[in-house]
Amino acid sequence: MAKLNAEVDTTTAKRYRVLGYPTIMVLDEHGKEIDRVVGYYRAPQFISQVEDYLAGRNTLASMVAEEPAKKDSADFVYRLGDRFADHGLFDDSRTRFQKFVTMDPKNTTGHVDDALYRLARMARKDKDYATDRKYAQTILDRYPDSDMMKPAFLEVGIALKKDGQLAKARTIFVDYAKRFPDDEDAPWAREQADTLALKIKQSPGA
Amino acid sequence: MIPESFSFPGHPGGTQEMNARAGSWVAGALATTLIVFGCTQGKKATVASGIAWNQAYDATLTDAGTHHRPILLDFYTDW
Repeated sequence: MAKLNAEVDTTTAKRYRVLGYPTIMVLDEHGKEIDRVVGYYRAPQFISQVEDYLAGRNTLASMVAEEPAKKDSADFVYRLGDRFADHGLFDDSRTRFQKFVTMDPKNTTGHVDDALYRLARMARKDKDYATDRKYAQTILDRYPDSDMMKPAFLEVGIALKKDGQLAKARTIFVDYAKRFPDDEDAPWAREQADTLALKIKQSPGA
Repeated sequence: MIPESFSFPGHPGGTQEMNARAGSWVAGALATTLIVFGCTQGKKATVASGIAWNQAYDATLTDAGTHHRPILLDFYTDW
């Protein structure tokens, strides 16, 4: 077992495409990835996942092999998209999430909002801020009661800011802080609004 | 399976997304996993939980090869 600070051992972190923390890699004795656990889980779930991986069950490779037989299962397609994203394989992830969103228009799985948010984040990563905003706005429009609503709200502001639409971005952050004054991200939203106000003052027209 | 919580670089500011599904989590998960894995040897650091962690990737790889054991590699950050 090894515990590596990914900000220090950046070479190893890059080698395994580590994108978030914690990421627990399960490797064979030669260092080849069997699979990974991304995020915090309760102990029984975590152990179950690791045991599955060591037995060759529920790995990304095994899921890819299952895909032809399960391609019509929305839940499976979502989980596959999620797994690809965990592995940093965003093109593969995007196609599954896009397919999933069309497969479950009524959000019977309860994951469409999550998929849309993941799609927004992938668009941001690609610097496609219009698409980023589109996906985030879709969450706000279709799933206002979702637990992804607040992240989506902020994502709209971030996309506008990244796209150079500073005044509009500021409006979003101000609105967020007003609507959710006690929210844990409200101070950050206010800070963004203040910073943008200064930038707008320095370069009118932005 | 949805993680209890998760963070990644470049997040807006925040904890909103990280905590979207966060609940309490069991810090002993990795410790318990020792039952599954056993330990590899090498440059080690003992942490409060009593787990002797390697802190060098190369040493971990060498040990795993020598003992024909799989590797559990925990990437973390201090922030």
